[in-house]
Amino acid sequence: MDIFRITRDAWGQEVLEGLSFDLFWVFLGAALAVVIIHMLYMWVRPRPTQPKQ
Amino acid sequence: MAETRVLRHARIDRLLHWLMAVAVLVLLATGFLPALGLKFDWVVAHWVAGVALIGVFLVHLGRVAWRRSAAQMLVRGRDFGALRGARDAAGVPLRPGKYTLAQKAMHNVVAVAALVAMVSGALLLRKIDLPIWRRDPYWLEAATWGRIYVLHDLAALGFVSLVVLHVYFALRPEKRAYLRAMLSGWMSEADYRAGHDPAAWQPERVAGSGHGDDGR
Repeated sequence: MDIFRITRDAWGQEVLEGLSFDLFWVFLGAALAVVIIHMLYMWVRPRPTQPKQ
Repeated sequence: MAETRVLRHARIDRLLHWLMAVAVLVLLATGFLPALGLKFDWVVAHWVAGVALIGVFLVHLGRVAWRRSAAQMLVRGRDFGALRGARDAAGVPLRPGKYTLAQKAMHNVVAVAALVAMVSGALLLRKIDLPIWRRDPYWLEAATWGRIYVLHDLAALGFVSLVVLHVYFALRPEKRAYLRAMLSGWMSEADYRAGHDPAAWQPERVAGSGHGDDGR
């Protein structure tokens, strides 16, 4: 997977055009991974005990 | 009997938040969908949304300066104590002021990403025809344009993650009071007392009718 978008100008020199759009899926996937890990943590973590009335 | 409510977000602040949200979503859609294969004429919608975001951001900054409320977003030591459930010398659990550590962190990271996106985006406006000027792609050297694109892309990619996380945490059941506050302005006195330190945040009380929008 490329990190950068690179093209060549009229003289054949490499020109930086920005970040690779493949990274979109990396950033989306990382966020969704955090969401899933947090959901699992909230599901399995011990519940705080309520004081008896 | 009507419940007591406190004002968390004034109407103008909620309006600014939702205008920013719409602008960011339009920017992400018009920025990424063409790159992901959905071809359409995206440039005009993208720069208009970007300029709108800059305008809303400046109004927000002006409002923060006018109200001298920037310190509300400073991360303080007690925020970490509140996060881990620490107590003060009297045994009272530490609670945050108006904003929790997570809310401050989200706001401040979004602010940095937005600043990078807006400054780089404003520079990139030089490369397109606008009503007030003709495009000048030679205004900067190609390598410099490339670095600006990298910064713009990095901020945009960061916003992809930030939007997902922001929406997820806004929809969490235990955060319902904050979502309601961003919609209607108020939170209940009970939620305020349970989650916030009255010594660090003294909000205005608003009438609670049980329905409708009481947020000023």
